[in-house]
Amino acid sequence: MALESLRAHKMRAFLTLIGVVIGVSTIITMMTVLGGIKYTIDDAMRNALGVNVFQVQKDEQQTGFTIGRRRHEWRPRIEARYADAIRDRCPSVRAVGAETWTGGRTFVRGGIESDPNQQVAGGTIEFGENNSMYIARGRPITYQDVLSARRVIVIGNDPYEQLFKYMDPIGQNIRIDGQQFEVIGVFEERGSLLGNSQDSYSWIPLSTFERIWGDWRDINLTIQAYSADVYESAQQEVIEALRVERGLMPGQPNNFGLWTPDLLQYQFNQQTGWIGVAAFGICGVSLLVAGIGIMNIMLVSVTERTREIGIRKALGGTRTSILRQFLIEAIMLSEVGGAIGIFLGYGVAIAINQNLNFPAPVPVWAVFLAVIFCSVVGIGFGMWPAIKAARLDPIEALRHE
Amino acid sequence: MSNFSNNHRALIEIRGMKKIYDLGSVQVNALNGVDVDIHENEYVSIMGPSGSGKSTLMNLIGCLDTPSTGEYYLANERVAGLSDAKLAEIRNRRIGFVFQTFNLLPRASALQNVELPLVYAGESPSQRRRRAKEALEAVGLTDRMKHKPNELSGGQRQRVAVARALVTNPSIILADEPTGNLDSKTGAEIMELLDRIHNEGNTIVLVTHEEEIAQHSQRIIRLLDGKIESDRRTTSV
Repeated sequence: MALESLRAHKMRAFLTLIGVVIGVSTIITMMTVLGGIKYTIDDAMRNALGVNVFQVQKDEQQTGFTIGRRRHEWRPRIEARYADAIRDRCPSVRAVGAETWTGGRTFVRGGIESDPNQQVAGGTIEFGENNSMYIARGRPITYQDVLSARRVIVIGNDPYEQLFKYMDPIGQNIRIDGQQFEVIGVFEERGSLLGNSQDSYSWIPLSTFERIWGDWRDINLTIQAYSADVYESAQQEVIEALRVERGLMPGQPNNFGLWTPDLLQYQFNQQTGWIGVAAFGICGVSLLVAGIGIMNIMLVSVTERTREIGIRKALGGTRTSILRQFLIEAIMLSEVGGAIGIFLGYGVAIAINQNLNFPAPVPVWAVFLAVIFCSVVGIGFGMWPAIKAARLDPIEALRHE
Repeated sequence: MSNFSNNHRALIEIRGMKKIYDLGSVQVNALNGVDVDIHENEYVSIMGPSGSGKSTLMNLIGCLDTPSTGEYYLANERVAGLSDAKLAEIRNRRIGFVFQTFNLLPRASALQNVELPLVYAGESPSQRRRRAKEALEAVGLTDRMKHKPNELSGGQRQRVAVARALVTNPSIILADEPTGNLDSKTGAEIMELLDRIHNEGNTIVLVTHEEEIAQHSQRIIRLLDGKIESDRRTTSV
């Protein structure tokens, strides 16, 4: 019965539904896109640092929502020699890598230039494993390479494709800032994250890096514990080792920072949380507008169908049954809009995520939430018109033209 | 209460019924003390000029309204002072309305229209369908069940309305100017149908201002200024 009257006024019902459709599709789109981003970033963070890995950097890892830059007191830089100290004194640590970065470099081979956004890491032999970057062809940097500061490089997939299309790069020479390097390996292709290529990272020995670009840059130490069981104790051991190395007295605070993937994720989740809250705000406003639309259309419907209400009452329809009829109609109206919104929002989300190369997981809870929201809107805004209908006097309703 | 109720023998018993409409500054006595008994299987017309109170009386008999004072027993049940929900139930079980303007639901088929009172009676869908079909067959609309009201002629629409009134097996059929919107030939057909329904044992209360229509009934109650002016048997019977 309720659906029939919707069908009888398709255009009007559709226009009323636009508000619900916008509200619901907004939330579904936002939630699906956010879900996709979160999934991708979680995944990336899990892989960015290898298993049971944490880092030591000069500054503390920042958590929470900060506006502007947080200033730090002066701190000594992290030096490559700390890696040796950690290796010597920390029994729970399996491997220590040291790395430092420079960006915005252009690789040149003959007359061919790569994109000017190449990132070059000076790293120890652990660099590949610690960063989950694997060799596709050739070989990695070895201990000997680091020891003798050889001019060798493992290049990312981007410079490989840009400089060595259709040929074997191994043993070829390239130039960076006029310095010549021999290509000894190529990393596996990694794709892109949030639209940024992950294949513009190349790796040279740390010693070579410091000889060419100076040894004033901060160094990150990437440390791998033997297992998840000793992950915490490895962190404690490293803190102790570094405090000894820096000659810190008991009671003096650490003047270096420990970075863990958990904290990175926590930080990210906090920030996306705000986006989620904003999405709910937008959605709430459009559902309010939608609700008013539904109330309006239901009031019109009650007036138009006064005669019908009179007939129903004469034939034995009680207030409750009339109330129920109009409420169900309002809920149906709202739910139909919700269903359209779910499909539309999901479609838009898939389109966006395909462009950005994310997965688009179906946010089941968001779908449930949308359905519940629509019911609440239907009941909330349909109640007054339905009460109006239920309270009509049958005699006057029957007389209504 | 039940002992007391059993004393009422007539199907409809109205005693000292008054209906006063409070229009703010004025009070209108639409009914001003009416006593009527209508027995089972009677065929009664209510007549009177407009403003005489016949519509009010009909609404009260049809339990669409309750009297200001006075008593009304319908099939031994005291109607005056009942709740809204209870009145709806009595309308559903006891009364079959036939209106001048048919009052069918425009978007529902003939069959669905006839099923409607059974929906409110809480009948199962299959039972509804069966009884509605029987009622439509009884009024000669076997081949028009799937049609919407706007696909039916005036006479056919009123037949659907009669079938809808009959389908619950009510105590009384209450027909308000049932031929008012029909041409004389179709009107005559509807009156024949009502006569037949009466002959099958139903009680009919007819509200009309046409003498010729009223002559179909056995008894005419004439109202004037909210009071019964006359109440006599028709000459034809």
